[in-house]
Amino acid sequence: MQKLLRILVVLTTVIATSVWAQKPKASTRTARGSEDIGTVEVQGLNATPISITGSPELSELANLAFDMHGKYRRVSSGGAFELRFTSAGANQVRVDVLKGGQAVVSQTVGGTSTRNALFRAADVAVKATSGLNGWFASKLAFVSERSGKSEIFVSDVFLGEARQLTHDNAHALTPRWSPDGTKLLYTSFFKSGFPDIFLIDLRSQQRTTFLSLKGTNSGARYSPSGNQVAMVLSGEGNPEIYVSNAQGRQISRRTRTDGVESSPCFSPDGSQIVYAAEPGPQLYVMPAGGGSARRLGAGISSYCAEPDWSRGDPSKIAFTVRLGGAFQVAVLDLKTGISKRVSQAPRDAVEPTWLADGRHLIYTARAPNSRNLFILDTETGKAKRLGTVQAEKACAWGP
Amino acid sequence: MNHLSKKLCIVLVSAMVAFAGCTKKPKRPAPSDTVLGQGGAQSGLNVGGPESLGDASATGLAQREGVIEDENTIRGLLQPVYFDYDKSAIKEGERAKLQDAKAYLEKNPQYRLLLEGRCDWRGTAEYNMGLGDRRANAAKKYLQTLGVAPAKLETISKGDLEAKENGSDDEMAKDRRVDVVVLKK
Repeated sequence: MQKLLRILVVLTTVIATSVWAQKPKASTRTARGSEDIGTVEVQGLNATPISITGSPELSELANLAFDMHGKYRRVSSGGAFELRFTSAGANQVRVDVLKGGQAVVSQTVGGTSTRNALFRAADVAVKATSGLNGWFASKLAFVSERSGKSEIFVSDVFLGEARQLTHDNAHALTPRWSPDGTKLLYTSFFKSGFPDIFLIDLRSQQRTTFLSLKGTNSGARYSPSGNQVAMVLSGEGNPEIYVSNAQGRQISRRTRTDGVESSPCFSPDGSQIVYAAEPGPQLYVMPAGGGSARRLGAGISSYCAEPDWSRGDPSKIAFTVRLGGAFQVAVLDLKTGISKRVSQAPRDAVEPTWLADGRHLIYTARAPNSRNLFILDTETGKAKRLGTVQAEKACAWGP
Repeated sequence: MNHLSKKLCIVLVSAMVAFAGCTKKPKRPAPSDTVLGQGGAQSGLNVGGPESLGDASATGLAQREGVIEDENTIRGLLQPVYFDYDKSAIKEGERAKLQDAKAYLEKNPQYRLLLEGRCDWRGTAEYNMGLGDRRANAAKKYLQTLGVAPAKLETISKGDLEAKENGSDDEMAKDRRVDVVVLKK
């Protein structure tokens, strides 16, 4: 029986892989696993040729950023745009976007550091040349075991300027940003030994217990207004979705089932909550204030979990699917109702989190005893590894 | 960073001091250590949308009481309960282990049990937290049907956080379990 099951799993994997291989031409030239495939021109997908000039240390950073972005390919000259980055004083970077030698945008941008100012300036260039929201100046919160036990870190989107926030020596998971980027909610076994929800205020550098109720307290996420928090509590005997105010008070229940509910996430307008529920799990959406739930994105897999609703493109929900014996990231397009696999990780791609443009996302590449963060362009399938740090469970925040 | 770590140390030390004085009773976090304060979450219940809880006495939500301390636990004495893949039902063949656990509690009435639900690493972290929770609660419910008082039973989910990665099928099956841990305090 075990053998038969294993053969079935292998077969399913082969089928899933060959189905993928028959996708349209545009999707076949994708990054395979962790290989750095450099700059690839993807036919028919409008990669914009750009040249980057300016002071050497700034253009080097800009190269790193734009090489992560699937919308662009760098050329030495003769591109559609020239992007020039020059220093304009302490933590100030001037960006000039030139088309045919003529400046179309010139702006001086300040940041918390020169590096941060360069990323902000590069985001200005992205907006000016593509219309997309930039995400180079976004922040990441992530769980890393680089210190031995899982702790919460924040960094820029390229894992630079990383800061360790906790020294708890306890399991921690799912750090999530407040919409204004000043707070983090996360689950940790710190202090009580049970899974509780903690709040870190990044401005005051204070950490407080957000909820420590009987049972499991996990999966806390802010609403887009920051006034509400959705989470999973099991104190009434079963893991269910609850919503509280931003102080963890006025808790009210949203689901009532026999199965496991997990990973609630508000829609960008705050009116709905998407979550995963058994059997399956599968994705469901319900009014944020409570009411009946509707199943989403049926058909792609019997296991759909960890939904993340894009604020950059409200028609897209990224989630994790089991395909054969592996896990990959899929995107549901709410306009068509069609779910499509977007990642090609060699083992597993889990925990997707959208970046600000609704096109790129970050996922955790999971292999036995190894976790690495990747940036994925969901349109080209191009994936690039972020740093070499053993990191997992990231959540992005874009200004 | 240093600023924060110092503050965290202070919180940790004050928590330790606060706990040092009351080793006999179940340990509660000092009210000042929680944002909820002394009123607890109960005071905030029953305000909300159409799904909000109508009756406070009907809600099972309550402030956590006590903390787990390794020196107050006995692990490995009672047998773990194993589960099928993605399942949380207590299999018939596993029930004798919970009957043994009940017998142990009767012989040691001063002790309680911590039911610790776990999953294999093939899944997703947040869902597995829920699955571990369900497994622990299934064991709790079964013990209650045997007549064990709910006050004698604590549950916790470890999800897949301590699962063996890349183990054989047999090793993965061993991660789908509830550990029955004795709580001496």
